[in-house]
Amino acid sequence: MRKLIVPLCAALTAAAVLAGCGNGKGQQPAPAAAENAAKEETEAAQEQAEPVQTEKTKLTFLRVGTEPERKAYWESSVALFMEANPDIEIEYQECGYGDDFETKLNTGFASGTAPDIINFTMASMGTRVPLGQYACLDEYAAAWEGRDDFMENALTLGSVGDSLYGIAVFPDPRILIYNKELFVEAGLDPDAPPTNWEELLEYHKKLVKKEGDNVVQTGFGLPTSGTNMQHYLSVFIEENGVKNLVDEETHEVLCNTPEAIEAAEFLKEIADAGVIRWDSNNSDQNPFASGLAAMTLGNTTDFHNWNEGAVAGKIAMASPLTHERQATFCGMGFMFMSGETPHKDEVWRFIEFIASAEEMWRRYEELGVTPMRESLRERYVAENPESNGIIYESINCGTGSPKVAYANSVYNAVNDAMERVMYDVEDPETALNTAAGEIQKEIDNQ
Amino acid sequence: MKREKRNQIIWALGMSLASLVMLIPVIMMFMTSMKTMEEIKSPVFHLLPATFSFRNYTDAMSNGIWPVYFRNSLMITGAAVLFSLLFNSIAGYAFARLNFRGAKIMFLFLMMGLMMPPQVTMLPTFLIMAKFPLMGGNDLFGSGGTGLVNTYAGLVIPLVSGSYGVFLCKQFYENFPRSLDEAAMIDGAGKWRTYFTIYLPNSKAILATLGLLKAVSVWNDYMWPLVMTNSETMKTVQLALTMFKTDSGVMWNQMMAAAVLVALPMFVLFLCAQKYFIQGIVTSGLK
Repeated sequence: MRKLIVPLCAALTAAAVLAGCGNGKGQQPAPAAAENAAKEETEAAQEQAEPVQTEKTKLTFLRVGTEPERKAYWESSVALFMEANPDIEIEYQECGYGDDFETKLNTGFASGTAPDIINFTMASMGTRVPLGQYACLDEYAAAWEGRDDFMENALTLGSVGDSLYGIAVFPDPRILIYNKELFVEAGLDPDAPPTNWEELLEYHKKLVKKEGDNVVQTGFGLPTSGTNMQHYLSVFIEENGVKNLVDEETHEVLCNTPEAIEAAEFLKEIADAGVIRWDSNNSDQNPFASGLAAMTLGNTTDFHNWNEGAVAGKIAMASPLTHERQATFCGMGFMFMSGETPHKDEVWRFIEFIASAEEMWRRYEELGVTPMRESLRERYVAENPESNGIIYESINCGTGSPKVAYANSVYNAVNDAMERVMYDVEDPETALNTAAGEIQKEIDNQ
Repeated sequence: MKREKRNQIIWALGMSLASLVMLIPVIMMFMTSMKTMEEIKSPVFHLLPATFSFRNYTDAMSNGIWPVYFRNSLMITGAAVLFSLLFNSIAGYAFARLNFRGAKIMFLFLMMGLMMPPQVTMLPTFLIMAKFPLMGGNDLFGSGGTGLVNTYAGLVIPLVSGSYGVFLCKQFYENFPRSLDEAAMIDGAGKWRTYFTIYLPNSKAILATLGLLKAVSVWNDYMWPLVMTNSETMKTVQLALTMFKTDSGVMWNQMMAAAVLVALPMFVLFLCAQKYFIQGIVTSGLK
């Protein structure tokens, strides 16, 4: 019996290892296997016809999000690039938004298997640039033909200090959207949306409808809670001349400056004049979508979705408001080069390809993404003069999340503060001073 | 007698209510899977959909390559359950019945594994898999390639061992009468034979319990496949569910439809193994 033990153990171990070590590539579904067979045949034929090529540089590209239409776009872009650059092979990967993506990237960087090219958000720069996980692109941008044609603000948003780290691909500006029909009902000119704070407040008051103490229709659809409250405050403090919630360069807290407090007081005035309370975590609750608010802030996707729902055909976009200056919030998706990649030149070639005018226009045609090159501006605006000019303008004057490692603490503190303001727990000055104190504590702990 | 009956009725009502509370998320999931997005977004909540339609199911399954995702999950779960049952029961038997030097210390270390959150070991495990020698383009020293990243082996190997399974088996085997071992020894059976001919055939209850717990945890695991896979053809069903979450919101109707289908194999498995599962819990003394 003992003689049996050793072979039995060996057999079990071998079986376990062999069964476990089966590579995914060897177990593809039938269509994939057939595709591979066809690909191999084509490659073999090419090898016979052409001289032997040098080994390809293999890059991995990880993008945030899993939407099928964007996936189709990226896969076709990668294919087009590889066709034009036969010496480079790109493996496309994707991962969902939020913590999932952060986990994936953190694991990759911690284990030395990080992707070479990363498509991620502006906020990620705050933590990843100081860690050296994103490479500085200044050297490449200096010799880049598209540098002067690229929208200046998009380059600014992709920079930390004076150094460029990200090339913008997916802009996400917050645009003032209004309901023309409700404007007409309130005796307002549907083609003359508000252009400044005074007009906004005046229109808001005219558009509010109450039944007793209940607000049944509001003017400006302002949320009263949720994690996007900071976007709303950002828009108004920047319109009032404040740089951002915090100064990225000096780490000075700006959310409780007199101008910021004035902006919060203005939002409180709007709320006091009558709003329908909703949670900004759930954009579906936005009363604008159901025709119960005449104005709100939304992105281009919101506009598209609302224009297919209850307020279809009744809504339009307006230029960002001006107070001290014209401003809005503008999120952005960027292309980053991994700080660890040994193939920097090849990575830049791909980023340059994605940022080319042709590719930008293809992105617009397939996904409706605004092209961010001056040379495409006229053509883009001509496609839809009513909206596209406003979108371009909003991106051009937009400021995004502060690119600091403690950005999440800033958002949390400001969201809490604004919620306290909206529910009359604290006045704007007290609430924002409390928030500033919390942010300062976080900065001191860094 | 009357009082006993009354207590029974109260007990039954209480348990029914508790069951209903447990079932609410499942009911909500099923009902949402039948609704349109307009119904879901509606400010007025209705539990029942306006019309029962399986449209969301067909729409959800037409996104992505679901047969491949299900196949991957089934393969990974099957392999992990099979190998973990084998290794855990052998180790449990060894700790319960073999007297060897260092057994107590080894068991103590094993128990420490129970207290270790999986997040702590995730990165070291990932590194071991990524630096696996002679695999995925790696050289003998584990560099140059991707090791077992994005392979079934990389997904399964770290899941086959587990303190919990060994502990469960040890508890179970300790309840076996010693006379069984003695009888086997008198008949000339060695330790392996005793295990394979006496212990293993009498372990249905504990293996079913362990198998079910393992299957559910591997099937539902999200984090490990997330970091270990990077291609569409290696995705598991849990990863695939994220495709309904976009930057502009969540397609709840399709996500819930897909979630119902993803949960179905585990429901069926539990119904099949329910009898053994309860036995296993009782006999291993777990609460």
